[in-house]
Amino acid sequence: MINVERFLRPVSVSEAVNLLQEPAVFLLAGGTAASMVRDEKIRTVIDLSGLEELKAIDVNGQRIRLGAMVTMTRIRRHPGLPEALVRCARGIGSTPLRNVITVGGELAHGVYWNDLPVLLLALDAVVEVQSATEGVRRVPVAEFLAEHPKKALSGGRMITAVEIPLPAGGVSYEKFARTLVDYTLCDVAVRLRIEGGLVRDARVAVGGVVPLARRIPEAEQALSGMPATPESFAHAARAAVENLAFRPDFRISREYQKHLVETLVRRHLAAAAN
Amino acid sequence: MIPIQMDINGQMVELEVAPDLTLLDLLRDLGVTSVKKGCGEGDCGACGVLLDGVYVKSCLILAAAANGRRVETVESLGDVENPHPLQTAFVDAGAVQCGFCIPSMLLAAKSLIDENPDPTDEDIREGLDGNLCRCTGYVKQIEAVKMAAAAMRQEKEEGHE
Repeated sequence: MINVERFLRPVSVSEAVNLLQEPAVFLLAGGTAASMVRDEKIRTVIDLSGLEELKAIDVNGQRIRLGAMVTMTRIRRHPGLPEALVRCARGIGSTPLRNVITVGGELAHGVYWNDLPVLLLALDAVVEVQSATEGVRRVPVAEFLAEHPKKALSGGRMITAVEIPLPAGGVSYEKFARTLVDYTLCDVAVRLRIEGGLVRDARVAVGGVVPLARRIPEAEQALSGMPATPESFAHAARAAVENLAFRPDFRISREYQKHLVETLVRRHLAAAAN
Repeated sequence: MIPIQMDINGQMVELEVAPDLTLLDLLRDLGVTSVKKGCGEGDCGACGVLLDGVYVKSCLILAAAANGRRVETVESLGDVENPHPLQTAFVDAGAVQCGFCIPSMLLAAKSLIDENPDPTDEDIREGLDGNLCRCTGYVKQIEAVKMAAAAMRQEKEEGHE
């Protein structure tokens, strides 16, 4: 940030995306990532705090819409949001961090400790991305993350909102960490649609133990059409462990990571089925 | 350099800041040394301030981003002659040892009670979860916040009579 020459404060998204056309810009939302940025090439900071249109939480029967500048504290205190989402927001950082960390910021950086993307994967959320040249694009969060957020946001794009389709069905989420405010060791989010005792549709997503939050298709396929029983869930949990490329973590061993994933996936499939 | 202006504890300040200067370093340069620099990277919580009434860690806020905003530090609460109920309660409960974390913790507690005048122990634990204290076990501080909240509720009731 040392070579920043201009500090711009757009008041509308259209103004912001036009400013994003310039090279070497940094988008400033809550600011918790800005302190990590040691990039001497950055010449312009675009402060998004004046974009009131990105601060809305809107819930109707079909979907939840979270503006990119909605903070974790707002989600935490919102009475109309699903329990898993509120729990996820509560688990991110500490109070003064939750007061500034935004939905957009949780998605834009692509670091292993982002918790919200894990839950958004299980919920089939859609990331709304806007740019001056392409207008508004709606990208499934799985695609957004698989491409890597840095790439998905290249070419003057910015996140404007996240949409979560409803009804979500049986959802269960946990951030496992040493303390309530520590960085994650393992995040697990699952979602199940069960009809007549059989799993019709499953989502299994993990974070923390991998470089970037991801779904585990092998575990999801292992559940498809199977009876919603502890045996099926245990089988899917083993499939989850077998198909992950784990991230080295100096705090815990590979064996511990595997044990965590297997235990948490099994436990949360059972919770989502109830 | 970036021109900014802000309200610090009721006083308007106009100055030019470097783009990478944090609000924490700016405040300390201006002599507001009640705002402590512990880790400087968003972990310890000793640098908390109220920014437009919202409790934040000032080491993570760029000074340029605080342009046009209202900053409150512990000086805005009270002083030895006229302590805020929170300051009285922290002393009465014995919640202060070395004191390094306390100015920021008082502001965390202030912001908690502003939102929630009758917090439970669980609410207080969450409200103070961004503040590391190396001396105490947090027990006395939780007690102090409860006492202060009760005193502030009573003050408010008496004010309405």
